[in-house]
Amino acid sequence: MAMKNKAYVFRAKKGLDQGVVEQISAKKQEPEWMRDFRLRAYKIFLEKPMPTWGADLSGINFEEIYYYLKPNEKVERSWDDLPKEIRDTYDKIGIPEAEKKYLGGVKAQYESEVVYGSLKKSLEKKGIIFCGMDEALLKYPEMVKRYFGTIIPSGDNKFAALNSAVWSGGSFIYVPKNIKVGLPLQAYFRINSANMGQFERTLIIVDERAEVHYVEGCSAPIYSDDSLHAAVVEVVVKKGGKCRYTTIQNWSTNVYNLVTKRAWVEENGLMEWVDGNLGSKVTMKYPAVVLAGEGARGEILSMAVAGKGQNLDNGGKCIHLKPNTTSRITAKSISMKGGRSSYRGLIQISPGAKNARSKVMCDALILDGKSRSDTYPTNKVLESEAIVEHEATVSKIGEEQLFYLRSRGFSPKEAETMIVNGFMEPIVKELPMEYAVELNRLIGLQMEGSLG
Amino acid sequence: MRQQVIKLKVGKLESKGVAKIWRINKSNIKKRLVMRAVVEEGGYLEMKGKIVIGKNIADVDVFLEQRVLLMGVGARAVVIPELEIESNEVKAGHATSVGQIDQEQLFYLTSRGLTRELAVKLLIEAFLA
Repeated sequence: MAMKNKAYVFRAKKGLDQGVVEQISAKKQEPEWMRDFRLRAYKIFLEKPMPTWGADLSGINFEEIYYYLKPNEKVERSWDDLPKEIRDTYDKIGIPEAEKKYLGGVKAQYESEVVYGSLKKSLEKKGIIFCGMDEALLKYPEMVKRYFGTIIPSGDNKFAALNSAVWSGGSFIYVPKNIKVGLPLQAYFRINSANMGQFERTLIIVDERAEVHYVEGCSAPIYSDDSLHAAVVEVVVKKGGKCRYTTIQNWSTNVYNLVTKRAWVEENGLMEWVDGNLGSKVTMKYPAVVLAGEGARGEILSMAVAGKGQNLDNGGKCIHLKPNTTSRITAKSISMKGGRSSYRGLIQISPGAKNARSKVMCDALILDGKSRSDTYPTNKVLESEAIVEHEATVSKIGEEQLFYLRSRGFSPKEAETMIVNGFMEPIVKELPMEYAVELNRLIGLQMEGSLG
Repeated sequence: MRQQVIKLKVGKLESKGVAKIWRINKSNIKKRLVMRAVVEEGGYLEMKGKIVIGKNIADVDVFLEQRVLLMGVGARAVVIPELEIESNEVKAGHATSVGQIDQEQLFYLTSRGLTRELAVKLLIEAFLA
């Protein structure tokens, strides 16, 4: 097959060494502190062992990956200015159309760089910043320097270190005090070539009493060689602020998706992660909230649909540092056609976090005897005046529900799809309308032929 | 339903651990595992419970229940309930809670003339009964 990956203006050599890290930094004409930050992270990456828990990562060959691929000279403000094949890709996914209808702003990342960016004039006037991470580093260096790598330090884990060394692209958002962004801001990440590594880096700062909803989607065409997606997302929610971060991950089943996401939430702030995982070969992702101010709240909705050859290891973490903080995790997973989905989570109530409350609910469906479902929650309660609750169930589709629907004239397939959609509903209903419709359709497609 | 109960008391400044793994290797099993513990002032508890259901198992209904009472300043607990399920003709679940004595129960007993101390003692006894 003729590769379409001719569509680039620069590509670093295959594999990773210090030279590649320096080259990425030089290409981006970065300030010295960022170059040093990358080099320190690269050293940490080399020193850190691969995680020995969770999914099997032995298939990743760091030497076979392209770490940086620049598809276009600059960030375009109009879809028409993009090279045709890139524009066509986004047209097919339907991003330009969605932008017109219901989005406040869009960033589109293709391989390593953001190639398209827009923000509604009315939002720009209110002082909202929504730009690519690279652009932010040049335009708002003080703000980036102040927060970059503070929520997720390079030493957090091997893949956070890798991202810190070779990061490129991602979004930067700043919402000023008291400003509420009514329309969601959207980013779309696309890997289009084989053996590609995408390492976007996102930083969101929600100032006091401000609100924002950020939505990201991801996709890639299928290749026989594996690709790697290792993102780092840092969110800061200041006093009384509110942030919702929605992800619909639909990578092709040759992508290793290893992502570190964490939010720092101050007094009475609220962070919500809505995390939908459908694609990828392997996912390891546990969005986290650190409740660092009194009365701070965290909510995580996690969803996974694991099909043939997929291992989705996801969940969430809530760290309660202060009194009167509350958190809730709702996880739903479906395993089918030999897929494996695991919930992995941590609730930690730190000493002094009096009256902290946390509740975790995990429900899993296994649709056939070849598939697997696991639950690995850890509850650390280090404060005696706190309440933590955890519940989980694993089961198959209820015979009675199935029988009822069949008796009403639905085919076995229709009935099963309806039950699965109903099972997912509490999470799907939290998605923007267009995504909810798309998601139900995708689940239906995945389930095709899954009836045993 | 068959039930196995494990009870534990972690005294002042004591540190204790308890772990139980259930491996379900045959079909037609219905049972429940209950783990209960009370942790006193400055005590530390690690409690782990795990249910593993292998391949080709059917008609299984198993449940793990873990309840921990933290009874005083500095009482801490790390509680880990795990499930690994590789069959689909089964039902498995767990419920975990870490918290304090129910204030309403305490209020009721003290309103009946019991001292707070005695009420607490009775409630702990009942919890571990």
